[in-house]
Amino acid sequence: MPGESVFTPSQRVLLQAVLNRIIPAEGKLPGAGTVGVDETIEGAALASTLLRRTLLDGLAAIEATAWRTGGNDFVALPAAIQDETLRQVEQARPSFFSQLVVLTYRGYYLQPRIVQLVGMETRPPQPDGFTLPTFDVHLLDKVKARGPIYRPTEGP
Amino acid sequence: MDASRDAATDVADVLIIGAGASGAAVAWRLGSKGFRVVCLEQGGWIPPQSYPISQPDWELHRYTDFHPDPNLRGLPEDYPVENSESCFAPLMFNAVGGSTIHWSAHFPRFHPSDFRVRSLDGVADDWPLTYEELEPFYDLNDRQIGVAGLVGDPAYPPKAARQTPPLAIGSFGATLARGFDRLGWHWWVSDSAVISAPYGENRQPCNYCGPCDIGCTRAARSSADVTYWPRAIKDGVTLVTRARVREISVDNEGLATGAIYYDAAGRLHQQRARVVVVAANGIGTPRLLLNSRSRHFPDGLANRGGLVGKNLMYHPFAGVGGVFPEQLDSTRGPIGSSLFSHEFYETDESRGYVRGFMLQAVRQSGPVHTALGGLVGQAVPWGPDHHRVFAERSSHMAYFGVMCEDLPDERNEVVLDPNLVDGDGIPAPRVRYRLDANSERMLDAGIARAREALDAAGATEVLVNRIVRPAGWHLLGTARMGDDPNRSVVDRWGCAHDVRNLFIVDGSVFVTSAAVNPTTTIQALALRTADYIDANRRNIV
Repeated sequence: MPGESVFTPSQRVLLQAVLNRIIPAEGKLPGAGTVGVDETIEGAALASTLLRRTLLDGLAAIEATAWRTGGNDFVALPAAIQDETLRQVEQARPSFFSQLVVLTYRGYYLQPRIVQLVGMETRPPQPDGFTLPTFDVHLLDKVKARGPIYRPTEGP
Repeated sequence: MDASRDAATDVADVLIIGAGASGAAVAWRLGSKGFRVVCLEQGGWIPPQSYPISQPDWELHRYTDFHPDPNLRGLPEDYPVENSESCFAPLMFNAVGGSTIHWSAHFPRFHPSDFRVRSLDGVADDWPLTYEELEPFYDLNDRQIGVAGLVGDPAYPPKAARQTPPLAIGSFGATLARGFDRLGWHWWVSDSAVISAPYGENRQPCNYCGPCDIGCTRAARSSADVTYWPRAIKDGVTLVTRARVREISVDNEGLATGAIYYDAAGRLHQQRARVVVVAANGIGTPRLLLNSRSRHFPDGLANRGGLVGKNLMYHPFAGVGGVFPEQLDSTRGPIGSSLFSHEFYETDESRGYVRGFMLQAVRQSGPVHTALGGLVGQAVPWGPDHHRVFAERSSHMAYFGVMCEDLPDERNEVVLDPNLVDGDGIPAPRVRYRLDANSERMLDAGIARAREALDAAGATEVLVNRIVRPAGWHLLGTARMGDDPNRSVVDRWGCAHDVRNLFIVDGSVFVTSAAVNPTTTIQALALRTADYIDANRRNIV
């Protein structure tokens, strides 16, 4: 429904910070937290109450671990401590963390601008397809020269 | 029940349950011979133009409505499969065309030795037929659907010419081929159920777009919906979609009389027939038989021997990926059908296991697939190394699928789950499967050889997924074929030992699995069974 959301403003800020460590900014490539991946994850959470719970519990665990590890909110920690925090959560909650990584990668790499920046084909596979050179049958000359390698049987 | 559809005169000669690879082949063959054929399919049509590969978000569909695992796809026509006791997740697609809808179309035949496993290697059983007996049906099927490939492969006896030239393999394939040549190993360009040149009606040749597993808008891939079904329907076969069969009905003598099914609105119908052909795949078929209980068959239809659902075989499958320093065209061309090696296919007991494996080259796909790890499932690491590793792998990888022969084991089975049901309340299947010691040793050997092949091809890093869980594409053995009713469910023609007008034509009937993708053999067997029904129509129909 329009206007529905899963994350409070502070949860969204936390999530964006987490996403920026899962796929950090580098050169021309933006971090995953700055290109709307939080919104695609929220869309998935709106469609699944189970996922919603998993993500909210996971975010709470990240914040708790941040305080235990670095003595501060996750968003206030240096990048290295943030990464250490996430590694700890990855160990402690592998199912949550792997789901978060999968959702992050999907949300990031479905964006045409990102696909262009990583040098991959931005258009869908069809209708244009691609062209490959015709198969050169002479590539098989060495194989043919061996002769039959199948195991003989008696026949019918 | 809907009386308007169940008139006493509405009795088909042949009822086929399932419109996939085998059901379609039987429908075409019997329709062309003048039989009145009705086919019930729980899914619907997927028009080729509607596949998502021409949409901007095409990659997302691999993980949603075109996910190969019905448990994760969860469309209304899917039924759940309880698979927590199986190291491989069974994969299937429920639609007209069946699992050929998400098919990568790699189309190798059995070897002659695959029909003689007991005689040659002292394990499993022999098939009640030979390669030579099946060969005319392999050829017939190839002509009907169109295959790209090249004759002369020394791993096989001589074959009839392929219908279209071999598919291009690009720098991806040439790189792998060089590795095989350096090692002196066999390789060959794949037989692909894809047309590389004009063939058939309303089809365009492959244009190497890549993700065959998410469909083919050109109908270049020879899926059953664009090959057999148009001709079968033209010949008068009636195909009823959104028809989910609950059970096969029997009469007082224990003969099959047809099927009871739900339509999309949940209304119950009956389709009567003189002969019933089951083509519901190696999980759907035993499920249906086990759900078809009567006083004649209290343990399930055709199950007096207790073997329905037993001997489930997949192909134990590992993924091995090589990262190459040079860029490859590895996202261009059919993802799963390019080249393969049968160097280690035939038994050599000095290797420490019996039977063998195939190395099947597998391509990369789009950026999401790359990030999530492709065939080896090792996602690009998150964090500071992410972009570097993504760039190293993107269009720089080639995979081998290590496809091992699976030996039959009655402990590997399909049963009815005690609690799970589908959307119509029909008991759902549960699969139990574990690898045996031979498979474990073979997987390890296959991984080692794949690694060797990738190193020889120039890979600088090799990634391994020892057991690819989402690799249960091939569902085999659960209504096995044989001459002995005490050791098989159907006879050498696919006729149930217990029910003389009931036939099974899908992968359930496999005696052994071989180490190749099964669809060409499934379809050849189906055509052979259809011809048997035709030749014996006076006694059967």
